[in-house]
Amino acid sequence: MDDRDFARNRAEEYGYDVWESFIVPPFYREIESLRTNKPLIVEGGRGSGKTMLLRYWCHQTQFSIHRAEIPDSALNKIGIYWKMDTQFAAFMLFRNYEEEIWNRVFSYWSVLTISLSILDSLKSIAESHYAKFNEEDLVRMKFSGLNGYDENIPDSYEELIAYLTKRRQQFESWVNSIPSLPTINFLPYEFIVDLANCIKKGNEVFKDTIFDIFIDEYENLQVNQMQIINTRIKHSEIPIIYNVAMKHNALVTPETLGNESIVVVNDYRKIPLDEYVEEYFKIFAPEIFLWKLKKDKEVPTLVEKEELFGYDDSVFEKRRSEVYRRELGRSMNAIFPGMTEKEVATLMLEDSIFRNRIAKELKKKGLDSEVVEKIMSSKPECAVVFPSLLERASFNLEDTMMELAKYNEGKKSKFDDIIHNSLFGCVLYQYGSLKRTCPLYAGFGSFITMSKDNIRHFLELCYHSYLRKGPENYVSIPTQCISVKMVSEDMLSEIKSLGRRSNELYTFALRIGTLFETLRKKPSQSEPEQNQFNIVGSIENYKIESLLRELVKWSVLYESKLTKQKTDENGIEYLLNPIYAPYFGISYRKKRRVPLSLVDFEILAFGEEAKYKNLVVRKTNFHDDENFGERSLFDL
Amino acid sequence: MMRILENEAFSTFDIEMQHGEDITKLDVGNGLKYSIVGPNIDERCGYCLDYLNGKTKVYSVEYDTNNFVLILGGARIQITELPDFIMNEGWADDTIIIDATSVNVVELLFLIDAFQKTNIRRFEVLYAEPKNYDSQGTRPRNRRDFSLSVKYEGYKGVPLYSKVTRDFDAKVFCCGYEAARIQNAIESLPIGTTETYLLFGMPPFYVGWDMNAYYNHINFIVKENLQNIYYCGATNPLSVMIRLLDIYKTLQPDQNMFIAPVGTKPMSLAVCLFLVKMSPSNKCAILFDHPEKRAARSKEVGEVNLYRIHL
Repeated sequence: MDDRDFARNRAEEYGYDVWESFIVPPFYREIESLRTNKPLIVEGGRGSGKTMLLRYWCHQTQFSIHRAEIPDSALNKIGIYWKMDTQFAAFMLFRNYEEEIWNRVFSYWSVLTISLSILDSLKSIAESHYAKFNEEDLVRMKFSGLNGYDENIPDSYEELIAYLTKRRQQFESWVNSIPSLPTINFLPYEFIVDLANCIKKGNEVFKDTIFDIFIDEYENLQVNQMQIINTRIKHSEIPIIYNVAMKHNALVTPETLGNESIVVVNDYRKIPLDEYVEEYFKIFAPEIFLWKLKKDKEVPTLVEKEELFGYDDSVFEKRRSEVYRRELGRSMNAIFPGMTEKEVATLMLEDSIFRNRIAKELKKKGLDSEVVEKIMSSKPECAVVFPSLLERASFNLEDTMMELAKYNEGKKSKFDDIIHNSLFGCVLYQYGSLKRTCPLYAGFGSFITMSKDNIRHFLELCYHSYLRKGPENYVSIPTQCISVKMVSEDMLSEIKSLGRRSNELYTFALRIGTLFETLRKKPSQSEPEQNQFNIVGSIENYKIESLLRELVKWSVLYESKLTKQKTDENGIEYLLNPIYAPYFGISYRKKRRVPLSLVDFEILAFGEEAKYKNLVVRKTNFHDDENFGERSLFDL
Repeated sequence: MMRILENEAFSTFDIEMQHGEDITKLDVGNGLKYSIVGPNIDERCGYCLDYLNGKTKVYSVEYDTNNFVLILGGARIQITELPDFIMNEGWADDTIIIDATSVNVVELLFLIDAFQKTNIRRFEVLYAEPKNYDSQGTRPRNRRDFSLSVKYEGYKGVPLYSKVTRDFDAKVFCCGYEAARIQNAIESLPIGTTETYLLFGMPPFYVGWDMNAYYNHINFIVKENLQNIYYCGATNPLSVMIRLLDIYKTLQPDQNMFIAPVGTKPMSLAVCLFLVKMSPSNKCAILFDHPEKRAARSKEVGEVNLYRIHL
């Protein structure tokens, strides 16, 4: 098996028929229960699996040649997937014509495209293992009910396809050159409904069929086109139901072409895919990886095809159980072992370079050799955090040594809290100072946190680590660390391809990441693990609001309600996607935030380089030339 | 005349390429009366404008991507009205020079298209290379990150030269420094990566600049398993056109060819010439994302190229 096949992780890479590759999510029952005859809006960030889900529901998969037994119920809902060519859709505007004309043009395009896709679905069924409708039945189908729209509409299947294809070509050519006012007889929306009814009447097997139209990447449409689709959603009725998939914050307008708006529950149901994925991430993500490992690399793993591709209630029950989750965790930990902060601290003190460095820091602050020796011979986690304590204004040597002694004896001590709060940050600080990749980035648990419910990111971390492993059955921690950093770099670089404002998003990510990195380099570590920010004051600035929306839409930032809100603080905090944490050597855990004023945010987002550098110095009280200077040749 | 491109569409086509340290070293046509320039965003655009100003009547051109109109010499005109505009202005053979340093790709395409339609057969194109680009940081990765565009309008059809993309159509990307623009096309459009061709500018403007392009594209090439990689001189439109024609010859009867000019400007010039000349075939279209270029994106002026074109 080619490594590239093993590492495939985007729905688009699997084509339209995903029967052999779609692992039924453990939360599938919940989603299925929402799939009634009401339109759906499937909302999810990048990597949440929306496209895979949509493609799974569509005819290419449901009537896949690989599906051995197809029940009659599969015909109840025939899914039609439409990822629109938005570059073509985007220029159906202006050019001397009123929007109303272009609305009709767009609508006509959708009629042709959807009609052809519906006809295509019949072929999928005829060629599938479904026994009650075959290619002869397809040839026998008649579409004479449509010739009211145009008497030239043929009534046989193949001829109807040829007719509609020709009309589409003529239409595309007209849109491209618009030599004159449209003389084309635009087929109205009702054509699709009549086509569906023809099919329902044309063969007994389709009598209860509903065609579910799924429009992917809704957010890329023009606003007037969204309104057209919204109108279709609002007025969806059997046998044609419209559904859309989009990213967060993408429902730019709920308006329809009329005076109404689409309203959740009344007009559509929403599938918040991210929420489901989040709840079952620790099960679903490892299942996908372990299945790929078994299938593509022939490595025995605990997952079974019958279970991952099955629908029995007992299977769902097992997959959602705590016991199974723990088994998956054990299995993943065996492949991707990690270390706790305390284990890393122990490792550090076994390394003379770290040991000498810490001892030197302690001596530099005026501690005598005897005290230093005591600290260095106490529990490793204490030695690692101790230098940071010396930086604090409230430091008192005598009290601290007493607390240290209590901790070493296993008694309750202030060091319990200090270690809880600061050890992770101090470990990152020490590794960062030596430009070494930190073992805290390794391990299944870290992968889960860093990928933050993004299946694609999780799989990238696993694949890239696994593909670099040695002859052992597991991936060594140093190998994982290198892979993690490379994936992090790739993902950061990928921001440049995220939509129209990608360059602004990229610059912002680089700058905010560098700010957090500089904060991480402060020796005091009094506020360790800063990787979030909030904006103080109200954000009544369109430029800033729209950038924030874009950053959240593309999951460069995650927004959440502010914890411990102060009176002048805005109610939202933003976490830098933790997949970028290894690149900046910062913590991937959601911990502390940096408050930013509107002006600061504006500088970070849009300011000149010099102003931004000043901001970093001002916010960190720390001048770190290194971030703006040359890096080591060997630093990834 | 010997045909330099083996296709009937190019039976009259010829291109003469000159290259020099500065404009004075080039044999710019004596009869030039009209020059067309784009937005003056960096030193080299200013350099060309200074040269053309005074010698010719200067028209500035810009395409309004929102309204699909051209703003040419201060007038807003529909694309289909461009040939009439040209005739009214009295533009003729051997009188026009386009400064491709500043004129953007879509404008270049519309101008050449209109020349073809108005029987203007001979014109010149000037292009001043950049000497330096500013990188977006000093980490090893960012060293090759050049902040060239503020943002993109997104892939959006261009009147007269657009088609609906399909999975099995051929996609050709001219590669410059902004690999993300290609990745964006692959992700946002229903085009997949089968039948994808990449053209790199080799030799580049300067020794070593090709590495920037490869470095920025390598992850994408590996991830998408792209195999069709070609090389054409970064300042040599003819070599690009030869490659495009090679790809065109492999098209199946039902297959179309989409070309994304997201590489160097001379490569884009080649794409425009190719699209205009192949227009009767009804098989070729442009893919373009309309970047908003960053002001002062390049520094200083490098060598200067002059292309004398016979359509």
